[in-house]
Amino acid sequence: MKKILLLITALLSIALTADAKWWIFGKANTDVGVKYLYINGIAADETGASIKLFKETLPSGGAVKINGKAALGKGAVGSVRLTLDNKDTWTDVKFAENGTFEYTFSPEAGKVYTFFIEVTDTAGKTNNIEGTRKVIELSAENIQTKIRVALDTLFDAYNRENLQKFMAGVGENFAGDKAMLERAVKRDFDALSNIVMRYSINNVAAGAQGRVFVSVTYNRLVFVNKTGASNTDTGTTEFVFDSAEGKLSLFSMKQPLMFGLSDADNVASGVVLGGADNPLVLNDSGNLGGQLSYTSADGSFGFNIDDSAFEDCDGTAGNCSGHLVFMTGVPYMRPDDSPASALIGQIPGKNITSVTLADVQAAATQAMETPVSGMTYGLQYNAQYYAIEIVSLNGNSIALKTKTF
Amino acid sequence: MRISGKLFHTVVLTFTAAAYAQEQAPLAPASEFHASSELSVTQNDILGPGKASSSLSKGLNFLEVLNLYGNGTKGAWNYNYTVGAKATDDDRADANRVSLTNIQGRATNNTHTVSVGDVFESFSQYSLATSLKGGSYRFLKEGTKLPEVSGVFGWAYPRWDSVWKDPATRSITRQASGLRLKQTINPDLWAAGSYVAAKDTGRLTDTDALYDAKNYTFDFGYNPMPGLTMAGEHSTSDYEEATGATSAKGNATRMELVGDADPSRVSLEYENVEPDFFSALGSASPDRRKMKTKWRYKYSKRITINSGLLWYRNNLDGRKTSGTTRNWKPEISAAIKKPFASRPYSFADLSYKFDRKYGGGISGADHYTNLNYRDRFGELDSDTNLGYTLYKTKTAVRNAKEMTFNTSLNSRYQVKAIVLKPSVNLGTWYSKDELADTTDKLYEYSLGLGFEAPDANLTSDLRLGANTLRKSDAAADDSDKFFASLSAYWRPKLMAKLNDSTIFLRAGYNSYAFTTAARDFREKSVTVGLNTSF
Repeated sequence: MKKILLLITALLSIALTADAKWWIFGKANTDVGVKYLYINGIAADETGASIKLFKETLPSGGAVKINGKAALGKGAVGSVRLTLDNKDTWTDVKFAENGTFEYTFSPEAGKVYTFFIEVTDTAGKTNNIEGTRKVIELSAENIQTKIRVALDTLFDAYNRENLQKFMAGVGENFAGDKAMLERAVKRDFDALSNIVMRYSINNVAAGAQGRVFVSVTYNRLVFVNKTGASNTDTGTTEFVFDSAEGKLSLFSMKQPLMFGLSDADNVASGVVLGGADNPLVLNDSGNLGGQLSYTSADGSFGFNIDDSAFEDCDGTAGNCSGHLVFMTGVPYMRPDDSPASALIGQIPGKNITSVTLADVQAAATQAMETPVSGMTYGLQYNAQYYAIEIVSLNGNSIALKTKTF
Repeated sequence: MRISGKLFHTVVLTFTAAAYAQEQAPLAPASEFHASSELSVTQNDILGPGKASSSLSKGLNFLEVLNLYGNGTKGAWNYNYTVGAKATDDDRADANRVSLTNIQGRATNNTHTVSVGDVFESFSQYSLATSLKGGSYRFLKEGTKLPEVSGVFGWAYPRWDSVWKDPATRSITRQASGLRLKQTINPDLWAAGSYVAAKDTGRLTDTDALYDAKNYTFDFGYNPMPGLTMAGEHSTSDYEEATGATSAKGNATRMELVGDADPSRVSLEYENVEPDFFSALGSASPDRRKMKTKWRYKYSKRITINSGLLWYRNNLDGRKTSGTTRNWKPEISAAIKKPFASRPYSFADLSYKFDRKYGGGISGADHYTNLNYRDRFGELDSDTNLGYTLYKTKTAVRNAKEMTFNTSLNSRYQVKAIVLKPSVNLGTWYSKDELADTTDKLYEYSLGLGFEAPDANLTSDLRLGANTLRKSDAAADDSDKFFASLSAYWRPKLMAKLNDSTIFLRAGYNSYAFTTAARDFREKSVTVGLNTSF
């Protein structure tokens, strides 16, 4: 940890003390420029070439505020001008002695504004005007229409297994990390075929920071290539979109996941309240993960967590080689070992996603437990810890999820 | 509280009539009202012994989505509002027959801003990044050194039906409140502090977790020099969970440094989220330390190189007896315009990504290679993708080689006032599983024909195709799918009074056949609808 902090400190020190833009390898050399530029609070560096704004996300009075600071070598600022009509007309902008400036205008919905800014020092030297070009548009559409376009694009690309098109709809600042999502979606596409996903919007909320929240009811059919099996599920999930890059792009997703099922723990940030009972996930081998089902003839069976394998047996430790023995008729479940090294215990209030190692260590104190549908259990097996969630228990049929720590 | 279908339609008609009345009456200069409606009726037929596998709802269903929104000015205050509702009898589209999708009102005098209904004050990533049903207030006085103050109170229900405890969509009640102060210290630097509290009540089942959580967060933004931006955030969480009688404190930190000026864009990121960090209303992946660097370099006008390295690990508190899992994910790609000088529309993109994952009893090394080539041959646009992936995860988890090939050919022909857009897509996926000693092959093709008659405001798209999965494992089913779809959109001029109306038709046919005939099923779906907005 200390090494990493030292490394960050060193990087920041280099960045802050550098005289030149070290990251451009000496290819740029402009004395006069714009030190920073914000358009409605969003750094121009992060907006991309075009900026689409929505009335619902404008901070106040439907106005667009452009503010920034002129950067000069040794001289002083002579003038700051900007244009909103592709250089046809220029407007002088008031600036402070330190080079800061601010300009506000009220855009018309549907009209496109082509913006440039010109900074001139007292010696007549100007900045790279072309480098400041931004196309600003206040969308005539309401945010609900726009969010549907963004969702349609993502769902269509995922249904068609078009990775390039899908990732084009994901923002650079994706909270779960864009690189992880890209690999997870690639693995999804290798694992699944005949993907059919539909959605219906439950709730939309736009914020002044340019972000849009959307809750959807989804309906999904997939074929798993590894087994040839099909799977359907329905539930509720949530997305947040960011409008910082000229369009709405995906910022975060919650479980149950729609995309990136192969790395659910890393690409999802949070769980929807009441989202879905059995969210679809893919495991490391490209097979459906998360939930395992088994129906035994007499309610007595064993289960090996490492192999995700069930075994028919008579419920005694001697002839079950797995980690757990179930006798649903009694009912009981117990670790398949002596109590000294194998312990189990209930973890109320947690599911397989939220349970932590500390929960398991605190809970695994009993020699046996009663299997209860919806309950999560901690299991210690020698020095290894696991969590098991019984998703459903109906007679001799069981569905469960596991987690290995 | 459930709204009946009749009541919903009455509300729709009332609002629509009001909208027309407002359209025809002289409007106040600074006042606007708009409405949009999408009404569709769908008939689904599902046949075959395996019809339970279909994701469609059998029979006749309808879906109506209505949105009303407007804005105006009253004295020094600007206001806007939006209301949306959805009605359907398709359980797969919504658990409820009628539901409110959104309702929001906002008023501002450029210093004070008040919002009620759906409020989405995204303070920062770790503190508050979800919407609430409630109210918010923001104070921002431009041109002064006073801090920007935001306050929010509400409930983090996923939908409005949950607010009135509808049985089908009832969820835990998560009450939220938050306060944020943001101060611009100088033109180059701002800093903010946030406090967010969440308290859960109303357990639905005995095992539901109920949190009482608080997050204290500091975040900042800094522009030390032109093109260089820094941003960071630190959050401390403190929570109690009632059902399991647990409590914990945790921290999360992230820093980002971005240098962006032609020809390069470089970013450095660091993130550390402790295992016990919990954010009920923000976004975070607990138990992860991450370092990431990306470099985009425009080597020339034709060649851009992207490279990146992502590293992350878990088990930050060292309590996992199975050990720590570490991940290395380097990648490099090159995008080349006109790789062949004689071909002005040619474009190639070559990428290689590597995933290394080890520790915790797992050791994986996956390689992803992809080549994309786009070009235009006469009237034909082509887009071809060739990928090779090697998955190798020890021990006995995954050892597979996979290849993908996809190509699409598209064209456009104009015959008088009609535009035709034919297309062909071909694809194959091949997987060799070394562990199971099995081979899977997937072939797919589709033909498309787009039709546009701009003078008649008509567009349509016809598509049909098939895909075939062949598995060498005799215990697993082969499958065949044939599909055909038609979509057509028409904006009749007679409906110009409604400003922007579209009649649409969507029809689809899917036939699924398996080695096990008892799984076979067929789907027929026809949807007709009307989109209207004014």
